[in-house]
Amino acid sequence: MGAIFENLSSGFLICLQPLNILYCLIGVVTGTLIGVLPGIGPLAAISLLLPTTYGISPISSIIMLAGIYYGAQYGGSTTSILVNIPGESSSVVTCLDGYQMARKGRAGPALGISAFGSYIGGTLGVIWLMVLANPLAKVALKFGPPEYFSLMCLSLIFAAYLSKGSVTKGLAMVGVGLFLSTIGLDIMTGQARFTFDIPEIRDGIGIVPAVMGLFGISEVLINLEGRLDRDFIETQIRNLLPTLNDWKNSIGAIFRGSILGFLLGIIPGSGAILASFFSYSIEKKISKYPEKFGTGVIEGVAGPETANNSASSGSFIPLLTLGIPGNPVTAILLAALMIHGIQPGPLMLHQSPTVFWGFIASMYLGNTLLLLLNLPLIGIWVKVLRIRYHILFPLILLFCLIGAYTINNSAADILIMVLFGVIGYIMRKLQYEAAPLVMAYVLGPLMETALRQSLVISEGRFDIFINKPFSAAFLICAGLLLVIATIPFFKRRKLLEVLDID
Amino acid sequence: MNRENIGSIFLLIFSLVVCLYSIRLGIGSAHNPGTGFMPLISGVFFGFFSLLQLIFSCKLKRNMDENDIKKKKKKPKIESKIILVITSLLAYGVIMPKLGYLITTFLFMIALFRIGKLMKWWVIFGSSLLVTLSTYLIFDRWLSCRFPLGIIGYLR
Repeated sequence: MGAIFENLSSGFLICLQPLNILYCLIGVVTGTLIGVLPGIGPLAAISLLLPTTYGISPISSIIMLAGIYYGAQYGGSTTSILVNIPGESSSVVTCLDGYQMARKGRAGPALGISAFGSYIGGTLGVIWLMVLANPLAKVALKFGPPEYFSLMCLSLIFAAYLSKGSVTKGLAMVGVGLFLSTIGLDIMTGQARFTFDIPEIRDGIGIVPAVMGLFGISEVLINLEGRLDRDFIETQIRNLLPTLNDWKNSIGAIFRGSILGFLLGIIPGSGAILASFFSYSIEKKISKYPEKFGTGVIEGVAGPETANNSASSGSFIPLLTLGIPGNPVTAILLAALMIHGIQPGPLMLHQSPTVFWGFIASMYLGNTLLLLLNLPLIGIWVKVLRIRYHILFPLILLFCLIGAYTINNSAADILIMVLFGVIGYIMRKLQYEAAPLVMAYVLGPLMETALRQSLVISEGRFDIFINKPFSAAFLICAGLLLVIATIPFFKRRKLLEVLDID
Repeated sequence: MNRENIGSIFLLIFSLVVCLYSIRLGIGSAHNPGTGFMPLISGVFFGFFSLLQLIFSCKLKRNMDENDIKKKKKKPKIESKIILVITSLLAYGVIMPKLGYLITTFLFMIALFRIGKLMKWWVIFGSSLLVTLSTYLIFDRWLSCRFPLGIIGYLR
């Protein structure tokens, strides 16, 4: 325990340097802004800002990019409560009671408890992350290529299983993502695959233009189909500090949400969305007045908002200890770390302790900054919400174009982004989810290397994946999920029914 | 044929192409997997699940009543706004290296603000100019992302 505090204090020394505080501030404010604005998520925002971090130190860059991620979880609740449109998918469930509270003139306490809950969830999540990271990294050191391959299989199947709509579509997207990851030069033989002599894709399709297209451009195109203006509740936002009674009703939900969110965040492939839904479901089940849920109950805001922030801290566990991203956002952060020459994984604690502990300390700082900034700045976020979409969408598109171009100073990346934007738009129309595709795309090269190494080690015997206990356990879980997924009666929709969520 | 089935059939055909191309690349052996090994696995994987999706959606169609089928058969309408935005984005990618950042972005912003249709011409011109210059100053001058100068570069 003493070692943890020693490392944490060295982390604070790094993150409290004026420049790092500034980057943390830029990250959390940008994240909140992104969360408030429907139409651009943390994934597209991180991709957009990634090229601007090439010139700064790895620790400053990761502090800023991670700040965007958890800042977006804070900001997402504002739109859910005031406009009934979730800024982030993890804030969908907040609409149910948050919006109803706003309609009853209690927007202030709803926003307040959401900010406090997010702060408590985020901070507790970081404490658990700090305590668990080292022991988990030690376990991960015992993992060889077969274990890594099986774990990645499990996380991809999990991502597909939890994606919106049909699981079979999610699994098909995993396959497409794996295929896309093979485009370019084969890492083992150097032979070109699916490049068709196009020099721009010799090194593969860049993750950043692909993600910006799939999430940023396609989101704008979908939004353009509907009404460009939103209904805004004309309510006075006052009494942001929840009353003693509000606290009494919410405190249990906040602590349950913290624990649940963190545990679900650790599971690769799940993340903040599932955590918020689970938390809401549990609060409703154990409540003395479940029938009132959906009519403006404060626990219905406190629990899910705490859970999604705690889950975003938990999702760093697989990234930092195993080097496996738990969701598409951490997948982009993995790419960012690798660009800066840092390989996340069990050795990161020893090879780059300054980055690791600086990053952990920055999360405390970021959560505190978010609480300090969000409540006083709520008026500004409300004004941002009033910006009309026909002004907003050209700016979002321009930022995406700039982001794509600045990666390699190449117009080819713009064309790739637009192509993926159109593909993403068609996918949304056909109800295919992009998240499993992105996860598979990032994990693809790691999976291929682990698979080929395992087969070389075992001299071509596939039973190497079953003979290793950890690997066998991961594969059994993956197999079970796959079986459940292919039985239509057990689709995710059923899971939501079990959770009693409409 | 509904949209669901078109998506599944497209993926199925695509998976066949991927598998055939992977075999051509060489899949090697279990001892020494070749270049086409992983693409083949991924092709088989998404081919299998798109086939499964096709079967599920056909089964679902059989259980639906006529009204549902009529609703599903409604032709998808793609708004002209979306086609204009996609065309503008593609044009930006092609023209920007030649015309340069400043001119292309200015024209691009005019086009997009115009698609929104809610602003007067002088507001559109003013906003486009403001956005172009401010993004140029932030990204090119401050953050050192080098944008092409295009025509302006030749004139210098």
